[in-house]
Amino acid sequence: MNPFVQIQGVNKTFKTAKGPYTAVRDINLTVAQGEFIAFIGHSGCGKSTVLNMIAGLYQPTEGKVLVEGREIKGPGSDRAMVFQNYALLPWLSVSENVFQAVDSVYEKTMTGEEKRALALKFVDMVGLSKHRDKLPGQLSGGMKQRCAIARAFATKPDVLLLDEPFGALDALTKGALHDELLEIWNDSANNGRKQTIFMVTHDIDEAIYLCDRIVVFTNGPGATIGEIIEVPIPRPRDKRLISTLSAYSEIKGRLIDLLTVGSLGAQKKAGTRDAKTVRVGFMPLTDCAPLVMAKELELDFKYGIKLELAKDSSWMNVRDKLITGELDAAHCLWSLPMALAAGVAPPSDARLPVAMTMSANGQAIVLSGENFPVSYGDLNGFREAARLLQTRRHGPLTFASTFPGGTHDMWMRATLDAAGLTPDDYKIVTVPPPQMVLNLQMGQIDGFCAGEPWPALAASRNAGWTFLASQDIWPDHPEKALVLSPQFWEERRDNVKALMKALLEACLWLDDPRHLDRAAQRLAAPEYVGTAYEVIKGRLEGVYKLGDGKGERDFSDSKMAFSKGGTLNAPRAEYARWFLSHFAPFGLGTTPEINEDALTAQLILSDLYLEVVQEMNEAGFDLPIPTVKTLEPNLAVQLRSESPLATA
Amino acid sequence: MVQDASALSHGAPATVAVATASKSKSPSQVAQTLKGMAAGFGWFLISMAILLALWAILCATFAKDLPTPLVTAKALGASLAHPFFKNDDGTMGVGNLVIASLGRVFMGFGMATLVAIPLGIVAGLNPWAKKIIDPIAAVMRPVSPLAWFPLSQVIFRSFGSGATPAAIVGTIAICCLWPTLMNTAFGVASLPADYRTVAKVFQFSPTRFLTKVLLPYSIPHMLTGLRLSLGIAWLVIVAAEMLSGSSGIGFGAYDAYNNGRLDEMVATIIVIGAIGLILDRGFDWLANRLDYEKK
Repeated sequence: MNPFVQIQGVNKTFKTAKGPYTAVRDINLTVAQGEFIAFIGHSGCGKSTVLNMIAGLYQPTEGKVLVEGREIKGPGSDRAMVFQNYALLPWLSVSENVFQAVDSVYEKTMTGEEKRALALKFVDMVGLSKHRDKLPGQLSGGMKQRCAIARAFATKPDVLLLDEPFGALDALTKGALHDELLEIWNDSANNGRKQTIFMVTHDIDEAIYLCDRIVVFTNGPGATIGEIIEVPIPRPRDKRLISTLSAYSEIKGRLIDLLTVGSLGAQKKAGTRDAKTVRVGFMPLTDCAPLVMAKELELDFKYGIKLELAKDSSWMNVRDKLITGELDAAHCLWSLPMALAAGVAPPSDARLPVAMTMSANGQAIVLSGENFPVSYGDLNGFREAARLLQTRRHGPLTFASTFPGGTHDMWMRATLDAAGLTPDDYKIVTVPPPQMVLNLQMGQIDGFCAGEPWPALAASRNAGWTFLASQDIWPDHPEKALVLSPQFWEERRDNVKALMKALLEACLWLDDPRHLDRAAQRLAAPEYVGTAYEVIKGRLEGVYKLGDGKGERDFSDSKMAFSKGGTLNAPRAEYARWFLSHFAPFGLGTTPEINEDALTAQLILSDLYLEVVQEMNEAGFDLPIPTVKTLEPNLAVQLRSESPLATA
Repeated sequence: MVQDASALSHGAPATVAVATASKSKSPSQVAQTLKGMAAGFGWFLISMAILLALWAILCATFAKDLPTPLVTAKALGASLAHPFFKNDDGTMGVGNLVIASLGRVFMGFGMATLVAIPLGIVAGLNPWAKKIIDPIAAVMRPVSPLAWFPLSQVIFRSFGSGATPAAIVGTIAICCLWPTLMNTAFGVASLPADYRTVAKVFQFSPTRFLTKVLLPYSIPHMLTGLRLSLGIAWLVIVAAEMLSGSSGIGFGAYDAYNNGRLDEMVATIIVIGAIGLILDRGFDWLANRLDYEKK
């Protein structure tokens, strides 16, 4: 499968009289040929802006849009559009409207007769042959849109862009047009579903009935992709039966949640929350388990707060919402606050405090099978394969991580470093975790580092295989932390402590192997991770199917851990220092002269953690008091950049 | 100036209903249309009757030298009975006068159109071109034809015996340039973004964009401008001919006055008015043929 349309790091800012207006930001999306994608979201969320950028009518302010690997610089005959208000030329007849588009696109490559025949064929196909000599003004809305659809399809584009095509039509006409659209799309004479379709819509049912994936936008300004929902309903779909499917009602429920409850963008302001509600962000990852279980076991009530979980789609969003205070706290990459403070990722003035460690282990380096025929953990083999690939491509390899300077970025870079590759040999791009597997599958990237369930999913979908588990890079490495928004930390100290207590208890609960089955079941739900229960459970129990015919590997001694009797959970200053001191050697640009000690003191809330543990122990728990002596990171791999040879 | 043009173009849709009705074919509808036309003619007669009455009152009260409608009608009848005579002393039948004037009007109007439409398209498409053209138009448009004519005489002096006809045509051209230019520019600039987008998405060449999108859309606006321009051209010809004293319908009216043939003078004025009316209606008919919204 090849990526057909790629939207990479796209921002669009318009100049207005009132100053610059950012319509959309951080848009990343990869789409395969023949996919039918819906863009859904509230008015003004920038869906149409993105559509127009694919059409080439707008240029992105930042980032780029690629079709078949070529960057879009303007409109092209490979893309056609259908508009909400039809946009037929009112002085031309139905057939002439279609013909002019065909005649223009095939100006020199077809004879006049062939073009006439092609135009009439599509006029016939949408059932307008009787009306072909009428002017648009003499047609109903449905007929006009049929004509516009014929015009778009007749130019045989690779990509079809539909901008709220059925928004102005009555329900009956709309239904008929859905089926006609699918019919033309499916038509084998027309290359049988080869066309990639993007449709902007407000209609949830329409999106589920027509599309393969539904891209949900957050509210503007500065809208971005909030969530991407797959529609795993096989085609052809039956309009009458579709609403009885459980997948249908699950997706519809999720969409209604996203579009009506405030999880999209800045609908809920801090002021509207009551004093007990704590809003915590998370990404759909297995290691968000402590949050999910704290809520499921009602530990939030036990400690006198109300936990509100908000699922997000990228670490950039989580970062932004922590900074603005839209989220009170988040389950977050351990090194993300350090990456911001050191200037690896903007904004370098952000100081997001780390309250506790929530998990260790359970991440993995995933490689594409065909390019890396090596065995598990074979760093020398990996280097040789990478060198070979590099020579063949005449360029660096591309790997993906989830956030610049985030934990996955560091594990990826540590692996490359330990294998003897330097930052000149590779580039690392940032891809939101839910889009990793597709990018690997499409050959966009050679490998990635991400947390479960994505490595397991890559293996189960045959997209890539688990080359190295993160616990084999650094046993019991700090992975996710509870990171606070500065406002929450400053103003609601009691709620911070209550949240930490609930999470510590949830972590202890997850320590018990008997509980893993229940945890996997809860995590699999669409409102949390939304992946098959078996995929989550296998890796949670430490039995890894590596993928690519490489068998299983047992990690039951070093699997993802949440507590280990509380020994894991302290926010350790030495870990913060390790991250701060390794950004630069790993090729990440930082602000000059980082004061590691000062930043560590600002970011790591050691005293708070000590206080919380003491209060919990008074209430009958037996949590270890963090040692004052430093616990030096003990890596399982030899970093070349640290070896005496490299420094000499 | 754009406001002028939009106000004028907003007047146009009133005729849509009439135009669509006249296109229908069934016998009952034809009867309906005929009835409508008869009623229209009835109103026209009443309107003319009021005009004649006012004229008669004027003659009966203080304008004792003004030929009465009856006397004028006789003179009109006489000149229409032999419209194409030509005497050795240079006097001509009214038909010859009209033909001479119309020739000049269409030459000046044609030249103005050839300049105004391309220039209007350029101004409508490019904001900077509009910024250059607008002030020029603002200064030149209010200048009376009576002022343009002597200037034209000076400009075309090198033409020798052809100087005066050239000056008349030049005066017409400069005076009737502006309505067409402004309306064309307005029409082109008001092309809806959707049509522009369609042309971009389907990769229309500049020629295709001009002939299939821009011109069809802006033709109604251009026609409004042309109709105003033609009206102005007919106004200007009479003034220019009176000044130049050569030939044509304007000269005819002035000549009759100078020679004391007042009845003939008023009759000529009526002919001028009638020709103006015919030109306007003819143009309206043509515009309806070309406007996609009225087909």
